[in-house]
Amino acid sequence: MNLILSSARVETLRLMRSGLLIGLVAVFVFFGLSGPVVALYMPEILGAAAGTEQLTIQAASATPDDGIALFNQSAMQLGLILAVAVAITSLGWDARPGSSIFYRTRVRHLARLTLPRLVIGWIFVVASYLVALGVAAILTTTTIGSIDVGTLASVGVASAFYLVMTMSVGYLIMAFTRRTAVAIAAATVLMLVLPLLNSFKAVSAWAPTALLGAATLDPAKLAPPLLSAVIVTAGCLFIASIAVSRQSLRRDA
Amino acid sequence: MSVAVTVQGLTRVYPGGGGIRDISFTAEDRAVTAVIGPNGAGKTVLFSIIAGLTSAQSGAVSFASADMTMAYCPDVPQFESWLTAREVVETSLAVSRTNRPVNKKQNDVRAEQSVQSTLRTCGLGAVLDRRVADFSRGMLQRLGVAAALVTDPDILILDEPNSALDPIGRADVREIITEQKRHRCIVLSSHLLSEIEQLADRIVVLDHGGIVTQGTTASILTDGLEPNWMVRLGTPSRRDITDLNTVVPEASFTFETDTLCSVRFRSFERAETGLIAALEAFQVPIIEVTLRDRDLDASFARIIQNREHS
Repeated sequence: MNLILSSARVETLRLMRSGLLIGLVAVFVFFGLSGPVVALYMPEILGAAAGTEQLTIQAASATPDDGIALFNQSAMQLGLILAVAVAITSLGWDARPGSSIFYRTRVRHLARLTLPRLVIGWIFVVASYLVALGVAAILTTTTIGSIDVGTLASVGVASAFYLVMTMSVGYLIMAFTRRTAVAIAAATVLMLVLPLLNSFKAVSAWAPTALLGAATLDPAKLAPPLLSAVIVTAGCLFIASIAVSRQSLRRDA
Repeated sequence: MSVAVTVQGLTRVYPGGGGIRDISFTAEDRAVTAVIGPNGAGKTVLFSIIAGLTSAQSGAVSFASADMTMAYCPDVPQFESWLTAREVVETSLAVSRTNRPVNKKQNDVRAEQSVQSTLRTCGLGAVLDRRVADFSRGMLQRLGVAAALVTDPDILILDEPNSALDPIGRADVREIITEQKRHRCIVLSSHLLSEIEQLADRIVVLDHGGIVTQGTTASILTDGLEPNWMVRLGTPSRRDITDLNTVVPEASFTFETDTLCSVRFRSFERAETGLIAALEAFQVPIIEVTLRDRDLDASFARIIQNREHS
């Protein structure tokens, strides 16, 4: 078995045995189930929330797009943070002196150790998301109405690219900080702040965060943010690979 | 014996203190070179630089040939806790193969055999498929040695390989090192100087980041040694101290118990002829005659104390 396959195998075992994979699937599928249900009962929920005779809240009946949009909105918050944590912890071996020594004394080109791990994370995260999207689509079709396949495909592709990009950003942060808690905190703050880019007209069309609104966006307008996401991903991987290879053992680990 | 590793003028100093200064020594192939010193002497920093984990500020480390392979087992081995012992050693072999082109053709069956035999050699044959998370510290140390050995390195660096092991474990590791030194250069450190005394061919003594002394194990053991023997008698001596000092005037007798006596001479040359006469003077059976403070613990303490006083 060569280095790349061995690294991919270790990461697969980590995700399966540590419970991260189950957690990923559980979180995404939970939102896949709850999103369409919340959309369906939104008028009743808001009506109950009003609670007084002075205030009346009316909501329009749910559409299939609403079911998918609500699923995606929730999945791309908590699910996103979990996905970024998967990417960050894939470099966790370098935060501990013993395991750092284990790999740094054996592997000449560390990118061949670290990148396969990140790619495995991508695969499992995107697969978990797509399974949940499928669940949301089935539930939406069953309870609200048929969903447009084109919309579903747009949401799936856009969200997958966004997940890959944010995982790469988390990976880059961890490559520099080499401290898991710090990296997760920094990445979480960044993920919460990034959607503000959509508020700036000059960049909103190209900002990768536009991918979060794929459910209501014209598919033709997804190309620029998709391209931006690819460029950001590639840049993060390139810089992170250089950073990891130039670092020495952490003395204070 | 040929030299496998040459360390020349190595210096790495940290702003907060610690590190090493101007370290120079050689480690021979098919031999054990031990680096000993008090806590904070710089042993781990030295090993980190030799292993390529940290860079030196000056000086150099060179090897007998450019394609020599190295394995480093740290004092506290850590592995990904969800892996089994077998998977750790398999990973070690798989990721290290890229450094040794000649092993690329090694097939999976031979690799599996190598993994299993290495784990058994290190006393982990019964826990091949147990996860590392369930390992004791001693088992982790054994696994660290196994992960290093499976790669068949030319140079094996062991930082405190037996610190967490029980006496049986230490005996196992000692046996492994004794066998392995026939095939490769071994550089190790340990605070268990009794182990070093049995294993090392050469010793380098570090203190406060610098070399205090270095030499063969025999020369380190006898460095500063005094001609003072401990004699254990089978029964109390028939002669008292006054009589003994009269019979053997070149020796000084001191009884610690009625059957344990210290016999001191002014020089080893005087002891060459006087020791036999001193033993005969007791006129009782002799059970044991030992040169006092001949062990490495005493030698090390002498060396460090002499350095502090100078």
